[in-house]
Amino acid sequence: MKRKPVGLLSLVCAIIILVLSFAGCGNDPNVKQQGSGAGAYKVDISGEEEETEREGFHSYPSGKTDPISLNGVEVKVTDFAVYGYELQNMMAVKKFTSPKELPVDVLAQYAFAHALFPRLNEANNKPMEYRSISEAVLNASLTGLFGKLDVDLTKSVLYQPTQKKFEMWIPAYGCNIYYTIDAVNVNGDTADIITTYFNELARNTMLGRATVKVGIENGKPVIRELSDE
Amino acid sequence: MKKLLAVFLSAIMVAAAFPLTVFAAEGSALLVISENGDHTIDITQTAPVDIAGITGTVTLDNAVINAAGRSAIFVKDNANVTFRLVGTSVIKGDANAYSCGIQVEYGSSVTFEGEGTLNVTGGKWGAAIGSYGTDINIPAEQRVQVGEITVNSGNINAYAGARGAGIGAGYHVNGNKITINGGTVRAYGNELGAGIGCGYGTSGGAVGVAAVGEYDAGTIIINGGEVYAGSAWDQAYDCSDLTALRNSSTQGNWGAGIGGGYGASASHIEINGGKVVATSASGGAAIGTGRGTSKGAQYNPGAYVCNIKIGGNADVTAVTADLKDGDNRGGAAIGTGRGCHTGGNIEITGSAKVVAINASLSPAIGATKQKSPVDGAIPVAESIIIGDGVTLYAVSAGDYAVDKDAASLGINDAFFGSSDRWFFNEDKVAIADVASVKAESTKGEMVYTNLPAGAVSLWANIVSAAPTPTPTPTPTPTPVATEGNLKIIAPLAMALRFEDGSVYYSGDSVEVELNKEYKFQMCTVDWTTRDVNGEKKIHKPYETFYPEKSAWIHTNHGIYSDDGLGLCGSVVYRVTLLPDRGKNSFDAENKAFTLYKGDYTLRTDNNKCFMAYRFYYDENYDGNAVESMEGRVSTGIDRVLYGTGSAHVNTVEDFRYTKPLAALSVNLPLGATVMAKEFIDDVFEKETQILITIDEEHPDLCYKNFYWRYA
Repeated sequence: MKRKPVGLLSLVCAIIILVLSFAGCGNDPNVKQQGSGAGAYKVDISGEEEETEREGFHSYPSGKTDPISLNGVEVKVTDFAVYGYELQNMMAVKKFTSPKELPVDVLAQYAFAHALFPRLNEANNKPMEYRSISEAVLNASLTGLFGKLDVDLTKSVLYQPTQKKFEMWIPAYGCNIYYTIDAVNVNGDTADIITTYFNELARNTMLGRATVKVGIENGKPVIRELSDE
Repeated sequence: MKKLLAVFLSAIMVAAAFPLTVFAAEGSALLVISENGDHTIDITQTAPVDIAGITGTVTLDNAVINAAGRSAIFVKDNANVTFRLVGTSVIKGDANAYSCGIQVEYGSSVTFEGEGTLNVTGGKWGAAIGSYGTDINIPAEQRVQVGEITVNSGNINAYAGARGAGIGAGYHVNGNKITINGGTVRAYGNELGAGIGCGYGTSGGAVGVAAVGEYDAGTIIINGGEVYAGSAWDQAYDCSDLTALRNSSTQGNWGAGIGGGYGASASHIEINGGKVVATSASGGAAIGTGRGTSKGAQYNPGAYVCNIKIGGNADVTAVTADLKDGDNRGGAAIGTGRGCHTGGNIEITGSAKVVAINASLSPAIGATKQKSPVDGAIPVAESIIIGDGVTLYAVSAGDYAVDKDAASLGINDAFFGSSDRWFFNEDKVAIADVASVKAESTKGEMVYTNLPAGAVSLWANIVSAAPTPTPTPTPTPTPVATEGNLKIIAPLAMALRFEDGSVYYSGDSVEVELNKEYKFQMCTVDWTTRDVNGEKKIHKPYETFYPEKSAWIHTNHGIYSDDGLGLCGSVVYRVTLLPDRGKNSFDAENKAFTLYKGDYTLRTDNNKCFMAYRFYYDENYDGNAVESMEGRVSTGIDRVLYGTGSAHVNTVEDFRYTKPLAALSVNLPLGATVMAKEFIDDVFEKETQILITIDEEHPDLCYKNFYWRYA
């Protein structure tokens, strides 16, 4: 029987073991590498960034930015696009050239709801939520939306004079808003935000259009005008 | 020579059999502790340590271990180890290798005791103390699992590696059991992992594979000590500094402070004592579940659970914040994270003191109000119990402090009137500096200090009812009635909805308490409520049978329900029944009825509690007389009564059986928005929304004319 070369065999084994040892470094058999092999489970957190949900589904012209700067003041375009929807479809106000034209009950209800919900479509879908707020809170909300208006909100049907507060059952405003911001035209110290609203995400049927004119008052953007064109 | 070569190569073989990491350590070798008893790891031990199969104590005495390629300390083989902390030890896993600071294999357990400090950091996908990560595609029996972890004393600062929990499980690993009985624990997750619980669960694979909810934080019990847990640490924020938390710019906060990591459940969180401060942001709950998903296919409602109990003398502060940029919000302070279907079960009892604060799109305690990935509805908690004796400071910006819509709700609100029971915060400004805000209230008295500028907050304090002295019984000569039989009179096709959800129709009567004020609102019923296939939804038998539809259709009366039938107004009315005799009155300014003994009749049909809208065609418009259109036009809202948002009151099918009318009068509640549609020859012409308000030109009238204008 021919003797086997012991040294050569040992060398081969040592190399194999060394290679295996290095191959295992930093890799754990319990951890499958991303993208390795067919059907590998890929971790993708970027998809969650696409959530828009109750904020509303909208598209925006390429090249546009949100927010825009109006006389150095930041104006969030989508906020005012949503305001247009709210006024037209929830408050039934199609147009106005000054917020002072609006009935006091409309102003009070709109400001009341906005005092609680930055966007009314984020309100609960269930009706019947009783809420009450002070006159100061309501006035602050109204000013935040339209700027300072010389209007006596206590003349609203929502006012409770004995308790000197406003109270309301919050309507079921919760919904999705499907809209496309068509244009943002800045004209000096105002900006016209032109939005088309749709009945469904696929945008097959148009619900309406709104142009919201935004101005700046005390360093904050406010609604100046609304039209349905 | 051959022998020499053989010996040399054999030596290489033996050396190669050792893990390379041993050689990576400077001046030291892997230490294997495999015998029961007391052992010490001190500054002389710089290489990793395996603790295998023993029951014993290992003292960490100013130990410093920076592992390469593996965990710094690996407790395995069913070991039961008590770490005694002496001095300050620094233990780190390898950020570039799947590892932990202290890895606890499933079946093993570790307990921390002593007076020293342990600064421990996880490696890649790994918890600081617990397990590192695995993958769902690995067969279950081969996956990494985590053992049990207990802290009795000591100062532990646990910083997770990427995607790991501070203390608990790593990426894609279920938690096991964590018990904290004492000591000071600061535990921070990293890259979507929880502070204490489990690491990054999943962003959503598929149901049955790796769906949201299928990973779980396991059992977390805190009985004592001081525990500070945050969902991220790499932004270097302090638990009491929400400004720093809010200004964080990564997604690192999607896990819970205590509970599930991103996409993970929290099946058992129990806080019985100690001081606990938990924070999160960007959609993760401070205590509860991590952020879920918006995608139904990636969410397993059957697996997703959230069970939280706080009791004893626990002092708990839970805070969630909105991320500064983007729509990253909606996690409850105590409850569920954004993107879930439930708020789970939350129980706060004993003499616990709880401060729960969240920024927006969620109550402080309960379910996120981001819509469910399952059905698009707004999630509600399954049950919330807040016991008498609990001191609760709860505040939420934009939603209720406590999820009042919980399917089951138990709160002793003896100290709250109905109007402030659901205390809430109306703050549209993010709560940025919670630490400096001290505010509390009891009924009727609010005290604020250091409230952030621009914030409008309402805080409340539920306190146990003070013992009421037992009144000396005085004989009552004649029994006094405490209830009255309220009779309801509503306008045609309208109903009354009371604050407790009860709906009453004209002719109904209900027993109510005397001297108690009841709030209610006016509703217009759904005129076309049907009775189809034996499903009774009808209040009054005023329907007509339509053979072609094989259904009974209401032609005039119908019902209102919160499920979408009918329409409700926004104006708040009140009624109080008094035990005295007098003349019933209606205070129009306050919208309040006062009814006296002998005539407890609530007449809402003649007290400006509604507006009768009369829909006409404008005969003066465009020179056409309305007669020319007679028989061809239909209008009003008998064809479409459209609530705002998703509240479609009727469907098109209903309208085919409604008689077209040239003019129509509809009683509608003030403050409701309806959509009216115009038809000519049964062909839709146009529609418009109408907000029902008092006619400012004729404020005394209960009716208003609306004119369609046809061309």
